Amino acid sequence: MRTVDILQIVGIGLLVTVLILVIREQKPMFAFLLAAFVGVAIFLVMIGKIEGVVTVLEDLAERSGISSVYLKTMLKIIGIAYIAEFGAQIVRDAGLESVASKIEFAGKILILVMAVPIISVLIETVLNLLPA
Amino acid sequence: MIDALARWLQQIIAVVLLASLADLLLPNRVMQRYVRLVAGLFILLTLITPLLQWTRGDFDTKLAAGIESALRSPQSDEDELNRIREDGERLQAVWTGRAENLAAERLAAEIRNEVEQAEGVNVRRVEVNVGKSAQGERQVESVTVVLSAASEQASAGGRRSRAIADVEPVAPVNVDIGVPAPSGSSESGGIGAEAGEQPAADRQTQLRIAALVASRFGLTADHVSVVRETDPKDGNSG
Repeated sequence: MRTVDILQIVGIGLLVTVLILVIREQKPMFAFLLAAFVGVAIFLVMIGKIEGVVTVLEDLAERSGISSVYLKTMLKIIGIAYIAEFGAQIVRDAGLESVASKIEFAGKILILVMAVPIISVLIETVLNLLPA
Repeated sequence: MIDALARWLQQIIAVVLLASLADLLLPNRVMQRYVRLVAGLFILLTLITPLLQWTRGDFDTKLAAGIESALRSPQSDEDELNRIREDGERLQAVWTGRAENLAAERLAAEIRNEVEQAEGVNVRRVEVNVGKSAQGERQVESVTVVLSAASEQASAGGRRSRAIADVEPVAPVNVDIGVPAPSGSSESGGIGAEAGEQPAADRQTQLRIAALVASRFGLTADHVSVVRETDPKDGNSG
């Protein structure tokens, strides 16, 4: 699976769409499972590809001398956003809009939690600057 | 100066690039606002980095620790911190105790050498008590110099060669080890209490030793007590 390109992905997507449309009439449950499975498969394949991008980013961060905390936090945020979005979409496909919105909510909260230390550092700095 | 400025600009550019890339990678609009908030905070943080380094030393490690603990479990953060603090205090107490013991041992050895060289007497042992002053500093509270019993002293003092004098009287002393003067009485009584039972020459020696130790090691004289080890044979004959 080294040379996965967009055509393959789109091909698999179209194939699965047709399959799901056919199956949905008889077995809606299997249609859902198929959609979830294909989603996970594409996700995993693409995650492997993103390693190169991350390496370049790390190199950039190291060279410019920014703290590795920034890069790690950014990547974690992107990861949280993707995974939350992915789960929410699968659940939404199954027709459970309310559960999907809860998953998205959890993702937002987790992203905000990461911002708390930064905010506290900023506020402490500002308070230190002010004369007591 | 220029170097620091260049590094700062580099950092800003890198963080802005990173933020735009993160923005680009986002799946949809729902998360975008939140990610933008965090990215904006990072850019702000980078902008004020010189200020931060000026006001406080290592905010990078603090930030990293904060993010780590926020990720793991925010509610147990306080407990963890307390536990680590307690550990640190315990370790510090252990180290301080060891350092105290070491210093006391060194001081005792020094005093012993000094007294033996200056007075030519046989020192059985030197006890150094270390305590805390009112300001919380460590200080030497009392020094007790225990001289060998008079019977040994006669043989040791008679011959000036200490190498032999030290070796010979060891056998009788091992027997008497349970009967040394209790340190409590010697501390409270000091030199005066012992003086009544002992010959005047002996008392003179003890006073000289106390003065010597006090002056050489910067102690007040009432912190130094010199006692002679009581010897059962000595008690019977004298």
